[in-house]
Amino acid sequence: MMVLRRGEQGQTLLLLLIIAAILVPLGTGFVSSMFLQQRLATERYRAGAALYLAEAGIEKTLSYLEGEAPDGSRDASWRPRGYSEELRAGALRGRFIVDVADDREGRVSIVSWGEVGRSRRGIRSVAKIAPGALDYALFAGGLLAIEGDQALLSLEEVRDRCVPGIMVASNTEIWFRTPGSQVKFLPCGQNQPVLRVGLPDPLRLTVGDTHGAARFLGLRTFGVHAGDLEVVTIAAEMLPVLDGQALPGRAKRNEANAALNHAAGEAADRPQLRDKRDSLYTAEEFGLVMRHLRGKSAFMLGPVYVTGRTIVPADVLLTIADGFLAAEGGLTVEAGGRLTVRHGLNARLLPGVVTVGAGAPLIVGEGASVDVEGVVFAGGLVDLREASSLHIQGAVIAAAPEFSLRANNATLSIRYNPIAPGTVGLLARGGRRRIFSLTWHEVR
Amino acid sequence: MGFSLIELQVALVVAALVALAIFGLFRAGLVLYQRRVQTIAAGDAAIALEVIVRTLRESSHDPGSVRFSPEDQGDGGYGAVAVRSARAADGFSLGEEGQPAWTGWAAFVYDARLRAVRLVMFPGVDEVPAPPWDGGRVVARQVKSFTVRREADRLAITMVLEGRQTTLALRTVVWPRNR
Repeated sequence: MMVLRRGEQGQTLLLLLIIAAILVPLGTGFVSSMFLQQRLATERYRAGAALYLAEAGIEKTLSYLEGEAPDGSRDASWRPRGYSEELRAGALRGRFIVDVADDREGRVSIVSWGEVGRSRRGIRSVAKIAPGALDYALFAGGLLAIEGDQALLSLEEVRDRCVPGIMVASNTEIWFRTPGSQVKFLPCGQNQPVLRVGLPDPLRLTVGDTHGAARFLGLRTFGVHAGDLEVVTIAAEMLPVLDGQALPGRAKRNEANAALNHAAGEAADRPQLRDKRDSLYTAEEFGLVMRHLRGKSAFMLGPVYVTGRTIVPADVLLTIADGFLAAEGGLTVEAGGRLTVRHGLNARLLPGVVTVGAGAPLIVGEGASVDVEGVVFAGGLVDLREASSLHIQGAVIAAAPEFSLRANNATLSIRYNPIAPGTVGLLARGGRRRIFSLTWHEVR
Repeated sequence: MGFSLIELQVALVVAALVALAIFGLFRAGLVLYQRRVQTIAAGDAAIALEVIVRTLRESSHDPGSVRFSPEDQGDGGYGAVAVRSARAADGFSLGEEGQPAWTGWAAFVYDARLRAVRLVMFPGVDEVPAPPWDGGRVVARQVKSFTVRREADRLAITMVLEGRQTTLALRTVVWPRNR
């Protein structure tokens, strides 16, 4: 048997203390590190969930503005402050808190905060209350007539994720007056070539001399090539109203054509035009600018607004970049003339061509060509004369209540742009509307 | 006075047990260290991925608003991507029409020399300069590979991190929210 001498007593304790001294800091360090990592991971998980809740808040708000809001309103007038709903995000419970406020030009600003525990993240979206008519490639307030053996209505569906939309709509009637006229419909992706036509109830579609309930008609029966046809009911209130300030205001602030004004004013000996910096013209001033540009390829920049009947002469090949041409009383592109409107990335929400005023026509003369990026809105008849062409990347609204659009042996080609509902200056008046999100960003 | 055989045997057993305990402790410490490194790396990677995802999420899903580096890493994946950005020093810029004011570009580039992913900003330009996109700041370190691939209107990002005895593969898919 081993006998411990007095000097050797307590050595086991010493050994234990040494081991404990090694183990304790190691264990404590590990536990605290794991605890910290666990907390950070949980925070990250919660922050992710909070973002999803904030997104849910935005989407729910859009749906409330399109349909019935929690206060029972159905006219997109809901403007809450601090409206909250509880939701689950995965395994976590949380809530979103929403503020909705009016912005300018028919837009609303939505700020949604998602909260899970102490994690909070916010998203801001600016959305436009868009008129239902801008969901269509071609919307007519009245009769839409495709006439002549050489007439071509070409529609291309280019929508977000290829969701098929309604491509043609008339508030009264659609005519395909001669069997030789052609409707070419290019659906998006793998979608079936179904041409969707919107008409009010009772429905009237006239092809040649045959009238009938369009629901039961196929255009092919009449020698018109259009693939399958589907008809849905529409309402007149879907037409937009023009914002009286938005378009002239932008032209007033646009000084990009000051040099052109100067040159045109010098040439015509008109001091007022020479010193003019903005792009808000009278019909006479615009006429002088066009006269100065005769025989040239002419460029104008940004929004251009004319307060009277406007003519683009045959010998001016006019291009407007990053803007629009709006004319009170009507716009005529003379026979053989050419008008082009192009939009860069930051100008995509501007309209292309606008005629302001009830009955203000858009006339594309014989053999003339109009090529526009952006929405074309005409207060009066859109008159496409013999052998003319109108190519649009956007949408067309012909608002005249009786005779809205006539394409007489002309080509009307529309490539629908999914951002058309966001177009500036066209406000929803009621009826079916769409809340169109213009911006999405995190609030930081 | 010497030790008896039994005392020696007990002492050896105790010594062996202590040695085993120390060895076990060492191994446990090593495992704990590895786990800690992995956890920290995963945390750092998650933060890096969040920086990338946030930027891509706020960009545009317009096809013209995304540029890939011309070096295809196979299978349609690229090691660098640049997207339109509306972020400026004073926050997210909005245009007069309520849409994002695209004032520049933000690029994420894999830097093989640094084994890192860098964020390079190009403020105030309409068109992103041609690669290589130098400079910027490092958002992810210890990166073995970084691949961005277009999947319809989404962007799929795969990032593999490789540290000491640690390999982590992270993948996420982002849908740019703006038009």
